[in-house]
Amino acid sequence: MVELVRVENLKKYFPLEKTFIEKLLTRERKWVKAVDGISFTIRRGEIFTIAGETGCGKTTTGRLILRLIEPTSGKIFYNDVDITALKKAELRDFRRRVQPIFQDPYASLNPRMKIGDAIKHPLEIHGVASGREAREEALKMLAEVGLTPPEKFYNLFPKDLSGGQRQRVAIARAMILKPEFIVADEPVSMIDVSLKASILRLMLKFKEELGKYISDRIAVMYLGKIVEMGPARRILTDPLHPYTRALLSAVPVPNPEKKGRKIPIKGEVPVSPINVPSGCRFNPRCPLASEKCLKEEPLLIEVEKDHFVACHLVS
Amino acid sequence: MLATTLVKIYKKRRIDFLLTVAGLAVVLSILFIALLAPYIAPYDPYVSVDEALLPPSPKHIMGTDNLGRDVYSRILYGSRTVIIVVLTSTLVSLVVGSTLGLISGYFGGKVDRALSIVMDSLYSFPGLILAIAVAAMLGPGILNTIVSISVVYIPTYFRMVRGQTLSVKNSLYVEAAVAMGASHKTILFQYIFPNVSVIIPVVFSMNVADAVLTEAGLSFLGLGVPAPIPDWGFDLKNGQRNLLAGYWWISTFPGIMIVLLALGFSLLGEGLNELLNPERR
Amino acid sequence: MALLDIENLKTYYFLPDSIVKAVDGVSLRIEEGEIVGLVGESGSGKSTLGLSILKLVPPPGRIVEGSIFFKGRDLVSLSEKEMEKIRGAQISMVFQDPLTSLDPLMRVGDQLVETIMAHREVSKSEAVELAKKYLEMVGIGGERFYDYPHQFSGGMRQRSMIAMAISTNPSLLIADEPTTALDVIVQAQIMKLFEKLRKELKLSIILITHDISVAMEIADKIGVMYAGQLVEFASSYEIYREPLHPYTKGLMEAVPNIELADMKLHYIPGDPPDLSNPPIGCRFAPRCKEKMDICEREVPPEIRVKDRFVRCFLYG
Repeated sequence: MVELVRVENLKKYFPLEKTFIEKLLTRERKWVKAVDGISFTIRRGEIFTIAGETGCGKTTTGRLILRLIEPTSGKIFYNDVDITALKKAELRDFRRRVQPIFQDPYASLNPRMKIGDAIKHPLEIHGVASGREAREEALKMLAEVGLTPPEKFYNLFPKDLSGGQRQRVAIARAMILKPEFIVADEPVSMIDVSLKASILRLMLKFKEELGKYISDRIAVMYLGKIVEMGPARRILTDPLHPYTRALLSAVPVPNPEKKGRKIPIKGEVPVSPINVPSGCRFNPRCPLASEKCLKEEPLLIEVEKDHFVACHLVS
Repeated sequence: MLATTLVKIYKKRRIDFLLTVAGLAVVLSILFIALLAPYIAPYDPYVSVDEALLPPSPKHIMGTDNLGRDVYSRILYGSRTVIIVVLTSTLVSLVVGSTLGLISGYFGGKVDRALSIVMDSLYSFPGLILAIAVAAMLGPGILNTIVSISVVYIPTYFRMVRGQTLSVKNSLYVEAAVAMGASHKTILFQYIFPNVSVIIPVVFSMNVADAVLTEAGLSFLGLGVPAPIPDWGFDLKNGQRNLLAGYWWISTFPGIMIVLLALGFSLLGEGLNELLNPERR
Repeated sequence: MALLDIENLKTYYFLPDSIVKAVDGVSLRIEEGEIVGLVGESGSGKSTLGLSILKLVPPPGRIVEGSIFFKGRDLVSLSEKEMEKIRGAQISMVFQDPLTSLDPLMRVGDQLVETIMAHREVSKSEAVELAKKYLEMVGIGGERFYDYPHQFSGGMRQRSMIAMAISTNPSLLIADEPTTALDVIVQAQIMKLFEKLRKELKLSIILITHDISVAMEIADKIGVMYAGQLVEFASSYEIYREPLHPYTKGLMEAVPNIELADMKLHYIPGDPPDLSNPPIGCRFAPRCKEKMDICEREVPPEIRVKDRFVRCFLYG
């Protein structure tokens, strides 16, 4: 079991802009606690999913791991090296091994760069290949992601492609350096349901070509904290945390006979995680909240092998 | 590609297309005149060639001015002056303003703050007033006039380019480039600049129209191109004192040319705007 | 008599160099108090169909053929003035992005009051009472009447849009991808709200979505659209138990099934056709696993199978 990424007590707070009056009257700063102390490890060859609704902190976590933003506190280790302390040359090497795929296929491609040029760009950035060789590689990638004939797609611009096609380009671009680690932020949320699977299949195909399939795990986040974490199969079949259960029950299933099995929870994720509830963050909406839940914040505890839950009622 | 875009504009909105073409026609004709002035002007614009204050006639189709110079020849040679001064100064503004805007927007920090304050202060001055201030400091001369006008428009380019740079800088595809490990240089040249430069031609052509009027204004006030260099603004002023006496041709023709050139550039600018940033539903 | 009876509707967009046949001969019927899901990929014409019912198709599009009978009257033949009396009053519409439909400078409550007073003969104070009542009905506390849209979360904004849509007592609500931009839990809440409204107000709803599982949650009947045509129309039970059209089968298979942790990823290969140049014959044929020779030559007509319709040669 080789550990690739290790995150320790990671926190990211964003300062909240104060209005003029507030600046005059108060001294204290208000923070948006996007990520508030999370820890997890990701093993080599593993698919690690961070699940949660908007505002839970998963996108911020992704950006922290990509070192697009700096953590407020906590550490991130890649191959046992603290990436927050990396200097220029080492950072470049890190960027070569870790590639991003973003949520919005419409915005993640440079509108003025040809598709082919965009795909071969990482090769040029890192001096791996250039000129004709790079172009050949790009053509190969286009074929691999199913954009054929590659020569035709090479010269097109992002505006000529559909959302699904653009996301394939993003994947091709991310894969061309044969990276060790991919951070994909909701790569299929903006794609039609009928096409989601094709994109996911594509990503899996690359994964299998580049590394051995070991296991996959899920971490569920709510308001900046991990509330449940463990093997995917376990979490999907036997979720323990009330939020996970509500989340899973809310996913629409095309079976009209299964109505009324949803776990109702009131309210929504707060507009912005500024005033975090005391105690367990989920208590205002949790149907099972008890006295203890309002006062004490539950810790993430391993309740069975490799299955962690942060909930007073479970532990 | 140009042809298909032109056809598209034509089909979409006839009036816009015709106006753009009209603008282009005006600008090109005047450029043409400027180029060929020495060959088509009948007289030397600097010297007196006949009696003063002669009305338009077959011999002098636009009459003569108070010093006996042929107005028509002065108009033709004047176009050279105006075109050279205006185009040079706006090009200088473009290069200086855009570069500063790009650097300021991309790198931010203290440099950005300092530059922004300077540029905003300059921008808050009405163009002509600022030009007058600078011209008064520098004194007369073609080069000084060019500098004065450049100063007026540098902030325009700075602000537009800086604004675009900021928005492009925060876009997802630039973030993706950073995450891929691209250097600042790569990002500036391959990501930011191509996406920012689209607006520059539009700003440019709208700018030139304004610059034509600023140049005319400066020369009118005697702070621009010095006599006896033929210049429309100067001639406009020159003819002013004789206007009430009924000698209308000395001022009127330069005046028409100034308006025509400014209008031509304006229409061209609007048309370019449609071409490069078509209105989307 | 059905509440809404669409017969052979065709809505085309007339572009400078092509004609996009967004809706190309669609017929369907909706009864009172019924929820019908209209499912299809982006570009299938489902949104255009929704807009056509309210005659809100933006130029260069327009209805070219067909009729839309609402309570017996053909909307296609009505004048703009007459349509204005129907829009927002008898037929309401809710869109995907509530942020752009709400006025950011007006309090939510006031916007609701404005809508009510425009379509119902009530005094201002009565309208305020009604507004609060409708806000309660959609699950927003009456005290939020005085808030501005930016103080609302996505789900709440969508709910206020729904409140506005039902405040005029319509018989039909058209919801175009109402939950696509919302999180899964909020989506479930909104779906529940739709069901409640259907029950309490006898409201018919057309739910337009690209996600068949969302439609299945509450729809009584489902119409599957592909490339401007309705390829299958049946009750949701029937579609679940036995989808007939190959495209419907594909859609059902493509839904990631969370109950099977061992996920088999299915998808429909290929891309939807260019609507300005649709293929001859069945429009789904290029992507169909079960296509036959005739499919590429002729457009399949709507074939009756028991009490549903399928547009596929496999069945007749």
